[in-house]
Parts: sequence; C-alpha cells; structure tokens
Amino acid sequence: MKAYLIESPVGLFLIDKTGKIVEKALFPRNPKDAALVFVEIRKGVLPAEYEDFTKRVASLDIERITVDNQAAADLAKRIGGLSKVELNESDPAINRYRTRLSGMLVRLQLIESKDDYEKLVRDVSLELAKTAIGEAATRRDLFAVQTVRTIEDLDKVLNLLAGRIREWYGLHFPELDRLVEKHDSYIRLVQNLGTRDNFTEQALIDQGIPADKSQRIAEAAQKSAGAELPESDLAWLKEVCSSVLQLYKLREKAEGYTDKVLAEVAPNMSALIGAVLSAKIISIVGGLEGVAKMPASTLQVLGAEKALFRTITTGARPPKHGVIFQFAPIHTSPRWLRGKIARAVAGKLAIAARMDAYGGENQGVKMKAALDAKINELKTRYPEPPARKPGQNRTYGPPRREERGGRDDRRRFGGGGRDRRRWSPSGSGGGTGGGGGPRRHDRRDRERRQMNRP
Amino acid sequence: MLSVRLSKHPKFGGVFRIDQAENRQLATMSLAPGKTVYGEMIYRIDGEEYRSWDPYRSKLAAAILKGLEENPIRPGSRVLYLGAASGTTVSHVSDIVGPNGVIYAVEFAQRSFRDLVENVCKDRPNIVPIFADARFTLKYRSLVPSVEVLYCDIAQQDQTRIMVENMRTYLKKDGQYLLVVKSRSIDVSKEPADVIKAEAAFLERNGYTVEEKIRLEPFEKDHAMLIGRKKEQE
Repeated sequence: MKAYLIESPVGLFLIDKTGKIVEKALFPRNPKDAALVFVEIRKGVLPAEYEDFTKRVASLDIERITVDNQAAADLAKRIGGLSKVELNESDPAINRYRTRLSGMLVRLQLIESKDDYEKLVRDVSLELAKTAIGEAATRRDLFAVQTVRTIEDLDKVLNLLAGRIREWYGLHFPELDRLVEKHDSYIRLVQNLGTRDNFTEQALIDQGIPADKSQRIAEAAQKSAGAELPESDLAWLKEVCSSVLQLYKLREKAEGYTDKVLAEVAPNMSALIGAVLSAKIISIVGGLEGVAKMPASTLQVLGAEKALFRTITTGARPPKHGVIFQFAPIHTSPRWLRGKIARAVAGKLAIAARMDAYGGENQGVKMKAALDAKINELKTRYPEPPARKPGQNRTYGPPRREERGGRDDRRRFGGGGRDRRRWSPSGSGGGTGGGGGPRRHDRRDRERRQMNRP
Repeated sequence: MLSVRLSKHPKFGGVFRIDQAENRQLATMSLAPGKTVYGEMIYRIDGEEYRSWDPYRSKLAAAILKGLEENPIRPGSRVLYLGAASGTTVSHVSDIVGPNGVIYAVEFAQRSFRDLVENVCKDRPNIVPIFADARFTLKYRSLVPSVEVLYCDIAQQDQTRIMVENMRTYLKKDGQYLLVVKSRSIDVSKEPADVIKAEAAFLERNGYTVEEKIRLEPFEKDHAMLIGRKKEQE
C-alpha cells in the first residue's frame, strides 16, 4: 500500500490512498507537553514513547510513504525504512488531507470540534513560541550589546549634564570652564573644593592638577568676574555633582563588565580593537553571528550608513570608516592614512569575528601583532600625504546642498567626488576624489591632541 | 466631549469609520476589548469597542485610504501573514476576520516576535504565532493549512519570490494576495516606480495577476501595495 504521513500538533497520521487514517500516534492534549513532543517531531525525531507507532506501521505492508517536508521525511525514514520514503513538496493529496484533517478527526471523535482543533494548534504554537523566544535570548553577546548601548546612553547623558554643571558653576567662576577641559575633572574640582576662594594653587595640586595649570587657575579664581555662591546653593550643586560622578563610576563599571563578557564571547575581536568597540559593532549588527557573516568592507563602514547610502544613491564620495573610527590608530593618524588603516583593520576584524562566532580559537595576540605590523608598514610607506594634482578634487558641478557645511574634508577639499551621472574622468589616479591636500595637520588635530591632556 | 459618529465602511466588512468634528478615522471593532496594542485610541460606542486604525503605522489602513477597490481580508478569512512584526496591523486584521477567521502570523525577528506574542496573541484567540523565517516555506507546514489570503510585508530583497513560494504551498486556488513592496529594501538606488513595476512583472511571469497597484504616499515613502490572485489556467 502507498501511504501519506502527515504531522500536526495533534499527532502523527498515516493516511492511505482512500483518505482513511490507517495508523495514528496522538500527542498529549496539554499544550505544554504537546509542544515538547512537537519540537522533537519537527526535528525529525520520534520520541521513545511512540515506539509502538513504529512497530504498528512496520507490521503494515507499505510500499511507499509520501511526505511533504524534510522533517516528516526524516521521521518516515526512521519509521518505515530508508528505501520507501518519497518527498514531494507540493503534493496535492497531502495538501487536501491537511486541510481536511480537522474534519476527519472530528468524525473519528478524536477531537470534539474543528474549533477545538484550531484552539489546540494555537495553544501549541504559543508554547513553541515561548520556547523559541527563550532560546533566542540566552546568548551572552546580547547582554554585552545592551551594556554597550547603556555606555553610549551614559556618554550622551554625561555630556549633557557636564555642560549643565559648567554653565551652572560658571555663574560663580566662569573662567574655570575654559581652563579645565575634562568634564570629570571639572566636576570633581567643584565637588571637592566648592567656592572659588578654595581654589588655591596648593589645593589644586593636591587635587591632581599639574603645577602650571594650578597656578593659572588660582590666579583666575582671585580675579574672577563671577557672582557669589551662597552655602546652601553650593550644597545643592554639590549634590548634583555627586550624582553625576556616580554615573561616571557606573560607566567605568559598565566598561569593566563589557571587557569581561567580551573576553569570553569574542576574544579575538577584543584583542584587535578592544572590548567596547567590538561590542559597539555587535550592537549595530544585532549579534555576533551576524557580524561573522559580513564582508570586511561592510564592517569597515558600519555606523556610517548615512554617508554610505548617500554614496550609493548620489554617487558622492564614500565613507572611509564607520564606528571603527573610534579605534585609536585610525583617529590619531593623519587623514591620508585613515582609509588604508581602516581597510586593514576591517579585514582582520572579519576574520576575528568568524573565529569568535564559529570556532572559538583564541589567536588574539597573534592577530593583534600582525595588525600592528601592517599599520606600521603603512605608516612607513606613506609618511607624506599624496601629491595633489591640480584640479583633482574639484567636483564636476556645484557642490550639492547636503555637502555645504558637511564634514570637514568636504568643506575644505571640495565637493562630492565622482559624479556617476556624467562621464567619469579616465586616469585621475584612482578617481576617489583625492585625500588630504598640502595642508596636513590643522587646527582640529591640534585641538584633539590638546583634549587628551588632563 | 466632542460628538462621535460611527459608520460602516461602504465597501469593506469589518472596517468602520469614526467621524469626530472635522476628523475622520478608520477603525475596527476590537476583538480584545479594553486592550490597546500600540497606544491607539479606543472608542466605546453603543456598548461595543472600536480601535482607531492609524494609516501611518499600518500599511493596510494606508492602502484603504488610498483607494483600495477590493479587500480580500474579510470577516471569517483565513490569512497567512508574513512579516507580522510587533503586531500593529495583525491586530486590526484579527479584528476584521473575527472569531471565525484565523491569522497565521509569521515573524523572524526575536524582539518583534516577543511583542507580538505578549501584546497581541495572548489576548486574541484567532492568531497563531509562528517564529520562523518565511524563506523556509515548509518549516511551518504542519501548523498552517490552506488559506484564502496571503498578506506579505517583509523587508527582503527577494520579498516577492518568497511570497510566490509561500503562495504555491499555502494559497487556495482562488485565494488572493496582498503584497507590500518596499522598494528601498529591494534596491536602494533604483527609482521606486521602476522597482514596483519590476515586482509586478515578476508576479505576472509566475502566474499571478496584479489587479491593483496602490502607492502609499503620504503614509509611507516609496512603498506600494499590490493585490491579485492566481491566473486562470487556460
């Protein structure tokens, strides 16, 4: 006899060509238990308690079992034997029987009514859904992602509040704002020293400020043009400062946690670009496995989506780096090297991500050494910015509206590069619209270097 | 309290219109009274509860407002819904098909699926949540029988091909489809009109008619809804 095997949340059914159910294995009615059995069935495994079904099927004289999906095929093989299983994905007979199944079961009094059947399907599906959600959530990379997003949120909030405190204390001692660049140092001074008459040179040195700066601050405190700050108002401001300082501590702890989790979850990526930056990349993609599937070119520009899509749709100059910019060797290097370094980093990072997601070997140290070597090689090979051919950077047309007041390079070195809608220049040395000009390090680089001092 | 007037939609069963002063909104009769899904307004009129249907959040509402001629989703319909997301549109479809209809809601993003189950499925007995990738059509074969309507709203490059495969397996012979074409998901650099034309052509080549083509501006940018059914075999 030729038969069809149909699996449903209610049970397994072997149906012959006349449409009669010749054998069945019913699952428990309780949706939770039924869901557990059903999960196995969908994997192609028949749970032990249904051994009997296998025996009964074996005793029938079946030439061939037809099924309509792979899981059922695996099941059928286990029940009926390898040679007899046929997989036909849009089998019209099976289609018909599936639609009629609830009616058949009602007639056989295996279920009360069609509505009951629907309810059972829904309940089992709900149970399956809950398990699926639970399983999908227990991945440690997701916890690290939430933490790094918290860090990003904290950075925004801290920046905002620090600005607020500066303005607030600035009513009393406005000169201090320009003299202390780091936010947390500023807030700590306010909290520990209080009113400006306590800002003596010695007191400042005790707070960790270098001698020459301490002197300048103490002088400014003496000559300050600010208003008086009464005790009670200072006390309230100090309260706010202490909360903000606690947030700074929290951020530090968050970084520590991220370091710990990523050392476990993605050791290779962390060895290359650090735990927090790795977590940011994973956060953008949504999961470690997703990062592993991406080509290096995508990793290179993750985070610069606005610029990337602008390139695709308008033919503007493509971004050289996305969040990967936060990797120190990239943002501290001169402009003409950044793209090359970004490319190198992205390449190694893609390999690291794959190792972390699928293998687990920790080659971190070796990879970091290789990357450092490559970066040094790039630095020695290109110590000078590339020569700028006259007119190379000029756009073929007026700069587009978005580009006015856009990123630094754009403003200074001309508009959007190759306009693909018109002809493209033949040999303009790679045609990417050029790199830095004869102007190398500029005011911004100087500012940036200053900011890194305490 | 401003006076509120309820009327049935002239063409579509299960869909209502609520007029309040100068405003007219679409609405559906709630299958789960007392619960909101996405913060929509609720109106109690004559002992029944109606949920306001926001065309800026639900593409089906947008299509209706943009002149949909025929709505395959009716009271009692059995619908396979690909791309259920957090359940905003699903909840209204659930209201329309009512207790005699069923929606098989397929969604692949874990976070959205969680919202779908918690905020929508738990309170509505006519939705079967399925955590699966619509590409793998046969993975949910044992949960989904033949359906009369296939609603597809997935952001994938090959979204139309995925829908066609699902139609071949699950759509009844005289069933109908509603396809949301997200042109930016298909090709971000092409003109939306061209992308939509290409998708319609794909459907026709594969044996399905395209009876309506509705652009969803101003509710959604660069989106269109296509409606049709299987071509008659000659």
